[in-house]
Amino acid sequence: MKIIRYPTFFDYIEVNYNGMKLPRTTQKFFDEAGAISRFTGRFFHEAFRPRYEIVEFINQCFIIGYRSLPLVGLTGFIMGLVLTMQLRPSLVDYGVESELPAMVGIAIIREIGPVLTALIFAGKIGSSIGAELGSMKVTEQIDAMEVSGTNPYKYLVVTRVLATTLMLPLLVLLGDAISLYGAFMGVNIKTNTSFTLYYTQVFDALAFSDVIPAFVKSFFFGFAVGIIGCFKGFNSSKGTEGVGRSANSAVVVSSLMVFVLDLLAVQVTDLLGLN
Amino acid sequence: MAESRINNLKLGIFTIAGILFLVISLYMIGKDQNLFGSNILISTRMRNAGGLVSGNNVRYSGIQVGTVSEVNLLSDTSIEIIMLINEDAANKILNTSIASLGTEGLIGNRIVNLIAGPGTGRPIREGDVIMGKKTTDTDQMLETLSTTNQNAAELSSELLTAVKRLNGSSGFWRIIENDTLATDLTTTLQNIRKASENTNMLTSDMNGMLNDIKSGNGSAGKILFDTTLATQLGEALSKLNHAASNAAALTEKTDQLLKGIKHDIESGNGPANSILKDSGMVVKLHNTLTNVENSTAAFNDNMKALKHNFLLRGYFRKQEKIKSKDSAFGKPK
Repeated sequence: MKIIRYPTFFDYIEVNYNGMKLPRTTQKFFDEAGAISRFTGRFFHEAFRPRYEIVEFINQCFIIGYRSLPLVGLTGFIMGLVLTMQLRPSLVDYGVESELPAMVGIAIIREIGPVLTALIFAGKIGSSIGAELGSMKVTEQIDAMEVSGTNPYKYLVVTRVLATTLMLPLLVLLGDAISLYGAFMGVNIKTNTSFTLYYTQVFDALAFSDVIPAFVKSFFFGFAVGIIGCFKGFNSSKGTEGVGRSANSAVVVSSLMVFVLDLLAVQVTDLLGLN
Repeated sequence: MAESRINNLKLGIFTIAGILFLVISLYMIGKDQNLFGSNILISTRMRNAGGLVSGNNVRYSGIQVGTVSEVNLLSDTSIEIIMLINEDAANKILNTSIASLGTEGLIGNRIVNLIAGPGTGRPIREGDVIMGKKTTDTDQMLETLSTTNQNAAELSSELLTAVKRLNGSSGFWRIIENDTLATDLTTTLQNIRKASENTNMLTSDMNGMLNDIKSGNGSAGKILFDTTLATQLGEALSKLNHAASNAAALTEKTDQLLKGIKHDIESGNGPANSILKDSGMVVKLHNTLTNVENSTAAFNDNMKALKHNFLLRGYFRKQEKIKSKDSAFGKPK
């Protein structure tokens, strides 16, 4: 099967640095960035063309989404509880303890929920995809799929990336809900606030500009985790050592990408006047 | 196959739960911002928006009834605030309501507070403009507080100076440490209190007197407030005036008479001159009086002789009996 190579930004600037001696790490960084860009371009090329691997996609959604819920839920619950307990003394100092639910609600919905869930997700799913595809690569299962006439990119990458892209927002939503419940428990450690009052205070403080950007950016987080996990696994080499390295690298790079995308999302949200 | 179906079911529940939370969140936020249900637009005008922006809450007597839709600058002194009011609440808010700016808590977001205005009116309708009221904002409060602080600083400085002067004064501390002074002061105060009580009583009495005078009681009241007395006094004065003029005329006549008498006396005419100036006349008068005296004594003897005369004796006895009878019964004559 012919692999299409799409030109990237770095292909266009190659003429400018051709012949120049760049540091090895810098050159490696640019090479990898270019490769990821090509890999991403191939995803969009493959994703919207038949044949669609629906069954595998649903299977991946179950594995990636549903099976991550306990970890995400537990982490979110603890985070909501701890955040409330940590914020309380400062708010008490300023005499605005009653604003605790509103403050925790905004912090969880806008930032902590999406980023924390994405990081947990990157740790669990990014490494899992990297290791799984890496082991398939080193054991030449991917080559075997190609030989048997199955498009390994469509079957392995497209399904997983679509699953991570769609499942992470759902995990963020459920993680937010569990985290807010944890915050409610935290609020009730020192005071006696009813559940109705707590949720009224939280949603009174929230606006669409808090929920929608956070929800939208979680799609990008999911896509980044999926595409980097698949890229690292798909390009794994050097036997079992390479598999471990791919898994580790997938977690590190996807976690880093989560923060980079978060920074970009804040800038875009600010530009659109939604902050 | 069965496991796959269970997995699909779990995935479905997971997906629906996530979407449900999103929908509920969006609904609750939208409900707070009056995006669902019927709303009407009303507006108010103020001189200062005080940082109010679209989306801030509108409360009527402390209850959330809407949100701020727009804040427009109409002129250099007028800001238009357009509010989106929930229709259910709008039926209970009258067009006489007054809008003012406030904050959620001490340092919270800006809000528009609607309160019931004076009088009666009709429920607000689309496009109504309600009256805006200027409220004291935080800047003004801080400005006032700053002035108060300056005053307090000046006051404390003055107090410090006063205390230093007091500490440096030996006379003041001598007065403070003098025990008898307190007793004297107490006595003085008691006396002042008594004097004050007496003054009060005196004032009360004077008040009563003045009331009596005002009501026309007593001589002073009658003099000051009795109009009939004033009339009578006027009449009396008029009569007195008339009498005085008569007296003057009489005096003049008397004077003329006396002048005439004096002239007669000096010129030797009339009886007065004879009485006052003629010595012979005096002797004749003396002799005449002596003769009258002698004649009277002789007449008395004659009368006694008549009482003993048998013709008149009965009459005199009868008169004595009547006299004695009247004196025995105490009957006056």
